[in-house]
Amino acid sequence: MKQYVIIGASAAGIAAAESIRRHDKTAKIVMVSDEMEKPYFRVMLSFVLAGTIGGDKLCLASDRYLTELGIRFIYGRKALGIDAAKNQVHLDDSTRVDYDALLLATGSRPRTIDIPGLDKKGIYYFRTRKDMEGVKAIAGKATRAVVIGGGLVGIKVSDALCNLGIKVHMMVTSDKVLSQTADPETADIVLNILKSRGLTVESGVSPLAFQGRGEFVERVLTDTGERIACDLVVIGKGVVPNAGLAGDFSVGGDGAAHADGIEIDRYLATSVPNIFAAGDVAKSLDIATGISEIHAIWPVAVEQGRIAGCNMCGIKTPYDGALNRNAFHIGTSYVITGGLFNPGPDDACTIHVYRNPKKNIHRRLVSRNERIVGMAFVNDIPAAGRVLAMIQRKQNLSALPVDILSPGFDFNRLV
Amino acid sequence: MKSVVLDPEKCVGCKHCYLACALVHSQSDDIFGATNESPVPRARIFVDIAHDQKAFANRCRHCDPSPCLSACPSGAIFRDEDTDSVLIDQEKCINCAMCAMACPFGVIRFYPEEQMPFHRVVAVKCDNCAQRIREEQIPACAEACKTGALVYGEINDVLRERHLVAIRQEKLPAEIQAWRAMNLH
Repeated sequence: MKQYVIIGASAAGIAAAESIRRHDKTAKIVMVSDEMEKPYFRVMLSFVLAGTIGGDKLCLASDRYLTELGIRFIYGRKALGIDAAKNQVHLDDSTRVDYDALLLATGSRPRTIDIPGLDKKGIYYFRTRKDMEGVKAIAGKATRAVVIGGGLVGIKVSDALCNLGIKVHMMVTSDKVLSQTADPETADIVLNILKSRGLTVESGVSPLAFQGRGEFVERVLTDTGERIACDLVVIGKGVVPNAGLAGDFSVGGDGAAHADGIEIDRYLATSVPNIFAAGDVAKSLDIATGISEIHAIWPVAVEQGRIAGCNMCGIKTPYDGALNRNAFHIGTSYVITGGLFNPGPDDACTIHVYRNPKKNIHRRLVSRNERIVGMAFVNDIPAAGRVLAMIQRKQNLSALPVDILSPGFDFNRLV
Repeated sequence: MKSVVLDPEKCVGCKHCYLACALVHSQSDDIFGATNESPVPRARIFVDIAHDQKAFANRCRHCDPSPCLSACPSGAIFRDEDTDSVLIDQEKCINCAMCAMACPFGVIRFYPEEQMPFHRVVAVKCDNCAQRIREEQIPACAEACKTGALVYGEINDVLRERHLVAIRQEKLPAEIQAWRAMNLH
């Protein structure tokens, strides 16, 4: 009987466990998580903060489900090292777990900032359930909040805090919000929605220090010399992969190469036999750019988890590569973006923009060599899914008898 | 596995399936009552004009593995093993559009839902008429189809039959041929 060990119990880990169980009914599955909680839906944290859903809906896999899948779940334990020669994982309580195949689904952690006053209370990263609960507890009595970072986490937290009636001041180091998630026009649309609800945004500013007379944070000092009063600070400066475990033991390249993720091959295997990686921690080939990079999004983690599970069971299943994409809903608008929506001057791409202000539609298509490589759509949902599928299939446009790059093209014609 | 299969050759775009789908998902289940309902009942099947100018009844394929199910970050989308359908638990839906992002066929939409508190907007997609299947009826779209374009049956049988039709070089029914001739420009 084989024993599969999965380190990490979020999207990729659970998907891998389900996949293994589907292909191997008798195998032992051991899952190690460093959090004390049951697996939960991380994407929903901002919704719980806003109060649109209850905390009970966060559960990703109940105890009953884990038992049904036959998973031995080890809570609150960190994997400290891997002995690849003996096929063993070392845990922080000095136990050792044997494996026939090991999956590193350790995910990512928030990128930290290092400025004075970080030890004050009321300053949170927004990554775990515990973070969310901390923010929620303070948000009840807070009136002013500072959100540092204009990425998707910053936007979603700001949206949630605005919903709670808190005045939010957003501080962005670059000159635009959502620079990694959307094109400038889409970012403007999102920003205008948030501004209409009382958000103030300041770009090109970084925090210098957090200050407060007591143990709680009371103001943020910025590099422009301003002091911004607040009761709550949320930091969302992106994520970094938890690749330390692999780095120490030279899984997937040498240790130094690991700061930005674990290298995997087409079968999601690392360079060490029987060790696989999936999810936020794994570097995979991007379909749009052709570069190997981290795709820290939920759907990619689930896809990779599922395919890694197949490969761990010995069913060779290739992975075609991931596509960076995001979807979110803000105000009454839906935003869906994906691929290379913000091409640089060296990318040799053509940008096609279509706007229909009456229907509140914005579409941006990015093409290169008769292929669509990027898109950013606001409020054109059925078309967005189809275009993303075309990017993923690397569909050649010249083979289609329609001119889909013309403005206002009706994507229904592609069915 | 039983499923609804479309024969695009036979689809004339009459939207009988569209109407039947909206009706079966209405509160009153009556064509006159349905038009007065609020929120308006919505169809989960769409009749689009494809690039070759032919009509195409576009419906959820209930894929396995299903991209929308993998993308759903709230666990609202699940597979119903009995009817082999991909369904949405609307209570859990957070209206985030991840499923619409993942669906390559564009058949997931977002509408206010009668059964939700405050008619909350949630993801709406074909439920394969799972309830009707359990009651041993066939999905409403296939039942409503007048031209035989939408057929409900064991998928391999339906496809085999279609191959046989091609081998026998059977012609399309005269009415559909006439309709196509009328619509050629």
